[in-house]
Amino acid sequence: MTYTLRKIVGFFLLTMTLGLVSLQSIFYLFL
Amino acid sequence: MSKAKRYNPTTQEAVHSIRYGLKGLLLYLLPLPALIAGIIALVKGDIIGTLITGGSFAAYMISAHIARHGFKLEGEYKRRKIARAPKTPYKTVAAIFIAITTTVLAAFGANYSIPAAVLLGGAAFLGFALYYGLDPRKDKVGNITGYGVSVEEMLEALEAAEIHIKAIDSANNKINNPDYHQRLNRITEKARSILTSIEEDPKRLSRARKFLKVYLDGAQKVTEGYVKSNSSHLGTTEALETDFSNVLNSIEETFAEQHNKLLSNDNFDLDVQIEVLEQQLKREGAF
Repeated sequence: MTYTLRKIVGFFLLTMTLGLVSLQSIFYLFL
Repeated sequence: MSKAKRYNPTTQEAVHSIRYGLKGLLLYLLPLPALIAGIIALVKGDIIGTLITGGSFAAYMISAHIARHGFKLEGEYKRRKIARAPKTPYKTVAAIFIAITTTVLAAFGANYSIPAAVLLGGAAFLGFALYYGLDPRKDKVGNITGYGVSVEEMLEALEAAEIHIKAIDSANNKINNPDYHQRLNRITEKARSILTSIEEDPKRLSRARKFLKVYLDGAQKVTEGYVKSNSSHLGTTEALETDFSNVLNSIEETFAEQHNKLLSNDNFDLDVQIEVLEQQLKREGAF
C-alpha cells in the first residue's frame, strides 16, 4: 500500500469511527 | 563579548518541529462532539449519559496526549542516525485506548450492538495504525560496524550523555536569570550537535568520550550546584554569581571549539583543553 493511500484510508477510518460515533452520541441523547 | 554563535535551527529541523507541533491534532478535534454530548446530557440531568460521553471524551484526550508523546519519541528516533527504539510503545498504547473508548462509546453512547461496536473499535485501531503508524521496534544502528565501536557501547555512551544534557536542561528551567538561561540553552544545544556528529561518524566517539564525560558531568554539577545555592534561604553571593558566569563562559567557548575540532577530525590539543577545563571546574567546586 502506498504512503498516500495508507494516509487516505487511515484518515477515512479514523473520521468514520471517532468522529461519527462521537456525533451519534449527541443524537442518541434526543432519541 | 562571547564568541558563541546564536543557535539557528536548519530549515529541516524547523520543518520537523512544525510538523510535530500539529501532529495528532485530529485526535483532539474528532472527539469534540462527545464533549458537546456530555454537556447536553449534563443539562438534561442524564447522569449515565454524562458519564459515558464525558468519560469517553476524557479518555480520547488522554489517548491523544499519549499518542503525542509517542510522536515526539518517534520524531527523535527518526532524527537520529543511531538510536534505541522507544521502550514503551506509546503510539500502540494510544491506539488501543482509542479502540476501547470507541467500542464503549458506540455500544453505550450511540446504541450500537456489541459486535458492531467492537468492529468500530477495530476500525479505529486500524485507522490509527494506517494514518499515524505504530511505534518503531528495532534499534537503529546506522553505519556503526567496522569502526571498532560496538552498538551497545555507542548507545550507552549516547544515552549517558543525553541524561546529563536533560539534567542540565531541567536545572536550567529553575534558573531565573535570562542571561544564564540563554547561555545554558546554547550549551545543551551544542552538546546535542556533538552527539549528532558522533552518530554521523562513530569513530569520533573514542575521541569525544572523555570530553563528553568531563564536560557534561561538570556542567551538570555546576548548574545543579548553582540552582541549589540559589534556592536555599541564603541565596547567592556576588562571588558565586561571578564564578558561575566565568564557568559558563569557559564551558561555552571550549565546547564550541571542541565541536569544531571534532568535526575537522583534529585531535591535537583536545586533552589539553579538557585538562584546563577540568582544573577550572574543580576550582569552582563542581567535583
